Amino acid sequence: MVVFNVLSVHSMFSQLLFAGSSLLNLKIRTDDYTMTEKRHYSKPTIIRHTVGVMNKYGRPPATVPMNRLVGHEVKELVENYGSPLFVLNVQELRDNYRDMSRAFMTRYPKAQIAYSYKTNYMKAVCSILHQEGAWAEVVSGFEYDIARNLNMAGENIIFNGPYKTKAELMRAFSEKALVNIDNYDEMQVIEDIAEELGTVLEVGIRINMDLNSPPWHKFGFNLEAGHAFEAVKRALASGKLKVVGLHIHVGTYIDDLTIYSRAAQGMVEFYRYIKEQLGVTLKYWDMGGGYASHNTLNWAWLPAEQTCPTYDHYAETICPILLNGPFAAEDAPKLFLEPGRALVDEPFSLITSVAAQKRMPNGGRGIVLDAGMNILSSVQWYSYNFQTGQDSGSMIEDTTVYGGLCMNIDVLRESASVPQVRRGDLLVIPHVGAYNISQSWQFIYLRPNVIAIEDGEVHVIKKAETREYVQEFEQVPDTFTK
Amino acid sequence: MNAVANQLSQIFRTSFQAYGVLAFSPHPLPAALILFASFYHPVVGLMGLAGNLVSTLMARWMHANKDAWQAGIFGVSGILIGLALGKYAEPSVRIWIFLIVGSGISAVISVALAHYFAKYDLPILSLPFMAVIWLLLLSSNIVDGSVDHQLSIGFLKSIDLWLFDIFPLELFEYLKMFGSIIFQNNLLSGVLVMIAIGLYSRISLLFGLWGGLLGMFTYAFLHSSLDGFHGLNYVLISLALGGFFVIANRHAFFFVSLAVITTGLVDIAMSTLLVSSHLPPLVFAFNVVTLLFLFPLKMRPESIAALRLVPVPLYLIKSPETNLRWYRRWSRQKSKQKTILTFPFLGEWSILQGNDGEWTHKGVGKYAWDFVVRDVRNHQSKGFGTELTDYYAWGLPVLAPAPGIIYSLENTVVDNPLQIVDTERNWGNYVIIDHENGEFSELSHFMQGSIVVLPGQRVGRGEILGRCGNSGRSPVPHIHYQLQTAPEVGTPTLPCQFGEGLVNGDIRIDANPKKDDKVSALTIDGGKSWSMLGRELESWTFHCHNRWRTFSETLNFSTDVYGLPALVSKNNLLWRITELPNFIVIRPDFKTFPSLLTASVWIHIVGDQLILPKRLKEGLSWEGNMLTHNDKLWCLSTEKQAIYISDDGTISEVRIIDQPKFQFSLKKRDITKK
Repeated sequence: MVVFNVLSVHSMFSQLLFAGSSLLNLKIRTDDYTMTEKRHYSKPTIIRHTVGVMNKYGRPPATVPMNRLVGHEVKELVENYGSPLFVLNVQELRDNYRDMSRAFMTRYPKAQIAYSYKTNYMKAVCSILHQEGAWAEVVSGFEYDIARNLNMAGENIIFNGPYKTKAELMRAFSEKALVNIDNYDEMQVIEDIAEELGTVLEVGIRINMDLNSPPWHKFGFNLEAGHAFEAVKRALASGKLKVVGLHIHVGTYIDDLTIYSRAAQGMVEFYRYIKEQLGVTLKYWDMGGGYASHNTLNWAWLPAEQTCPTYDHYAETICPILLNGPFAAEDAPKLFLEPGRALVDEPFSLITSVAAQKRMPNGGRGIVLDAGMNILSSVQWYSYNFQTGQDSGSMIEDTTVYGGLCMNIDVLRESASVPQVRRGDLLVIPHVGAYNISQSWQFIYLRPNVIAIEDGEVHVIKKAETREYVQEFEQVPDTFTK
Repeated sequence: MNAVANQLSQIFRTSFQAYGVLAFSPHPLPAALILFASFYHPVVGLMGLAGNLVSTLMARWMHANKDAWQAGIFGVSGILIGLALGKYAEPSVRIWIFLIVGSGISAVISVALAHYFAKYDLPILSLPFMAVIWLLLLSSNIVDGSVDHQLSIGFLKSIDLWLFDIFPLELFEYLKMFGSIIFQNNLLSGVLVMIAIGLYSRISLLFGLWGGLLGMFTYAFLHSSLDGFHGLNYVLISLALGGFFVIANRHAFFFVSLAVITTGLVDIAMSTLLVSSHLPPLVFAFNVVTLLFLFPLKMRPESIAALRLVPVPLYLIKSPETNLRWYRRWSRQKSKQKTILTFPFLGEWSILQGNDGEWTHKGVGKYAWDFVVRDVRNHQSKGFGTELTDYYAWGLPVLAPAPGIIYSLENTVVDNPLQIVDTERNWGNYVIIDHENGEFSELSHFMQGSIVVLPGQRVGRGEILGRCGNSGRSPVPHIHYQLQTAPEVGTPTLPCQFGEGLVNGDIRIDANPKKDDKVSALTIDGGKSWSMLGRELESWTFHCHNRWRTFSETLNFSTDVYGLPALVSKNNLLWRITELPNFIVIRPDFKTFPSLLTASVWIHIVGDQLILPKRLKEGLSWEGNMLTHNDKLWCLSTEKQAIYISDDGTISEVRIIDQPKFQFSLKKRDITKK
């Protein structure tokens, strides 16, 4: 069976069907047309193109062209800045921050968002969020340095992560950053620092608890096993540390609100316990990150639009529970939130060009894009949506989308609903802000431009790489070239 | 040597001051004019000056109340004795001896009387003078009270006589009436004294002129002629009661008028009584009637009377205008709400309807606010807003705006569907908090069953009362707040303000937000900084330089008699502290403030109140300079000051607008040195 597009082959016939097909998204399937011998006649059948049953909350059909981004023609942007191209909608980023801030601030007396740098630590992105009032949440000396370089005061930086060197910790403590301890070895190093500085250092303790499956036990001290309590006790016993904070991170892309409510409940109970047993008074508690964005996970049953909680949902889950903690209203510990994905994922889009379309041996359709896993590493988790950047007709076909890398694994999506795009056509992939840029790797191709658009104005916030840049630190000894 | 010079200059200044006190105009300029007017005849003027110096020195020697002495109170009787002796006798060596001795005696009587009258906070006026002059007149034959020896320099006298011919008698008497305060029966002195008073205080001048006119009519009415009319009693009592001791207003006007008529009666009665003893009544009527009229005012609860006294020791009163300014400020302060309110929610909300709003905040209920939450797109709800739950405000915590006891509540009214209002149970689910100071907070439109407090329960500031809902007269979820005088729903609302808060991003003290303003509670993170309050070992010094003078005040932490936080300056003046959650407000305590001058200077420079942030970085001090990069700073501005607070909540500068030379520094006193 070969599939024909009747609209192109039988133009007369298509004229008759046009009204119906364009509305119903039809394609017509016939038997083979070879005329060598008379074959059994089978009448043409009309089968509806379908992308699965969507309800009223479903995403827009892939045939609706997304030919403008933040008020600019996609085509023009590519002409000016090349393809592929990351585009940041600055206002959307600001709105996300303000929305999230509002949701938590109207429910908890002292809530502060600390942006998780690792999600996307481009200077421009961090600067915009700092401008809006976000603190910095960093997980390495490198990220810490980025934050300081952006003029964030040390006291507005939260330093997490399982591996921090002594020099980095020394710098953090002398600049009054908030440090959350991940393990006993780190605690030992911090005690040494306290001794060297001759002061009692204020620290936070990272805890984890049984919340989800698979368990998220890498970071901090376990609550159920009693490690968390031992850690607080040990920190106080040294006399060099003062525990003023608790930190929990429940996972990543958590759309199950019960996980947050159980985590908050656990924090409150743990605080009550260490307050009674050890006399600890917290200055802050940190609910970490993990807030979901509007991207559908590969294994998700429903599209993210239906499953992703709003900021208000998260806040309504977490704040009332925390407010039951052992303190008077005016002495509430400061609540830190460390969103990354939930803030930056949606404001970014990637414009990419179709390099080729091909028919696969199984009869399916494949297209090759000029962007691959090298700049879109999140395809491991996300089923990205591919929107056409121009009018590409109404016929949608399940298509395998390949990246441009010369690697068999570079498949952006096994089966996506893509209209009939041709070489040179543009596709827009929305919601690509989280991790893709910070995890991108220079492999086979150079990394593209990143632009930000605000108030109609386009700013290049990261220039495309050049060969010279990539090879800048390479050296070829003379003996290799003689 | 220097100390002696200092003392001498102090004595001369005090003596000089006494001339102003004579006409209830304690200021150098009127003092100078009156001094000049008393030298219509140089010898008489000299006698006044000598009497003044003697009684001033004598009072100092007797260690009279220092403030009263500095004000020049004790020189007054000396001056009057000198001038009166000059008026009634030819100057001779004997007269001079009488003058010296008499002034000395008057000082003794003054100190004794001042001590006695202090109990009732009454002025001694010129009673010592009256006592001494009658004593002298009765005990010796040097003078005859019925004979008027008006000495004068020849050509001045002739001018006076010439004017006497030109002007009608009534006008002539009227114009020279002011001069009679210093026993000068001539037009020049009269006009000079009048100018002196007028320059000093327009209120005094008006009252003086009115008192004189009314006095003239009274005298003419009782006596059928103006013969023997001396305006001094009428003028003096008008000056004393009209604005100086009693705050000038229309009540004071009628009060003064009655006092002037009484004075006329007493004066003529006294003249009749004293005819046989050849004693002049002089200022007897003024003294008696002033005390008579002041005493009842002193004895009554001030809150019910329209006639106000200045609540400071009388010798420290500056002028009728100062009194009036003080009174206005004091009454403004008094009528202010007692409860310090904070916004009854967390985070940023918008005003849907403010005071005197277009829908329901009208009439007695006009001092109320409706709060809703709006997002970055200025919408109250997400999506199409077709469900109550789409509204951001729905279910948000509602807090106690101030500490108090839950008086009553309603928790069972069903929430309305959107855009439907329940006019049967207007207030819906509500909470009324008794703030235990006669003020009550009323919060409305809670979600059904969401209220978590109980009647009788004590709540703290910021404690959660319940959740925002849509019950009662509420088309969309919102919080209604009002402060009222009675605990029942629907009682009249009080004009009120929120103690502090962010209004459209700016910090405001006494915030009174309007429709569509975005407001939120002010939470300044004080975790890493240091609190200003409660440090009894610290003192604050305020320096202010302007073109003419340097004003500096060092304030120490203390408590007032009620144990409330207060600041005390070196001369025990009290400055009251009002504590807001993040700021403290310091204002001169007008009730106990003995010096109106210092308060006036303070107010002139700093404004009605000085607002300081409660938390500061240690060791911080400010110069009155602008910050060069303040784009990331919040600015608190009141009438005259600005406080800059950086984004992370650290207060970085306090600046007084328009007074770039104002400095505020924080000093730590060493406990060991004390």
